[in-house]
Amino acid sequence: MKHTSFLFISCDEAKHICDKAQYHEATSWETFKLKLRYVWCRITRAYVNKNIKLTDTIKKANVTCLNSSEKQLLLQNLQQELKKQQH
Amino acid sequence: MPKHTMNPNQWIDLYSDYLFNFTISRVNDREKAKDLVQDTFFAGLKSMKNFKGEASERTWLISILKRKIIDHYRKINSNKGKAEVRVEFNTEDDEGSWLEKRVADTDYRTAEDDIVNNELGDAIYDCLSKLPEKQATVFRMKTIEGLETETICNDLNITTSNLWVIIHRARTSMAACMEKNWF
Repeated sequence: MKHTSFLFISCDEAKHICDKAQYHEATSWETFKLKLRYVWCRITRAYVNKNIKLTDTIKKANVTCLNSSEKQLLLQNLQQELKKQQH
Repeated sequence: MPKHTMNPNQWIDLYSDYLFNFTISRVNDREKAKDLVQDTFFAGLKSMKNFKGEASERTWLISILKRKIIDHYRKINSNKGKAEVRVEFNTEDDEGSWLEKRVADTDYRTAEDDIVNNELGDAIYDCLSKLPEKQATVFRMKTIEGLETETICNDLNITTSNLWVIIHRARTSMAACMEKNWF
């Protein structure tokens, strides 16, 4: 990733910070630099808006999934059942 | 010749999350949802010979799951939708008398809210299923399971910068897909 200067960041860096910000992993300084670029860069603005929209939508949908141990158990049970079918 | 083939060894990786999310949004009980997904896979195995390959595996499994969910509600003869009734005993004079109150459900959501939410969840999983496997796994672990970056990197044996590149690609594809299908 190309770093342009201390204060002004590249578009790629802005996108990277924006991604981290969706998971609350961007530092305050990074967020400040992102906001600065957001003001004047159309591409950054479009990316940030889309990214926030995606985060909000997923949050709103309240989607859930199986964790890896639950999946593992399901897999074991399915394989046992599959063996039974084959015999 | 059938358009779709069946591969039960891939079912967990490909469909378990989609089916689980589909179920939990309809039964609101994690353990029950897991049981129903497992029952669906077992029923799928048993009736594999009936699979003609005209629909996709996922559509076929969903149709089995829908029947399982209906059976579940038939079994429990659900009390959903009935008003909660609270019985209150008041003073000594009133002892024995009681007041039946209709109590507002604080988590009240309309049926329409539920339908929109269920459809939104389905749309998200639809888009997720179109991502390359690694992107889908990382995105799911980070965004849906909410796991720490370090945990995912250790589990999948990838570097932090690698993770963020994968996340970036996944988010870009997800946003485009949701833009097309939902927004």
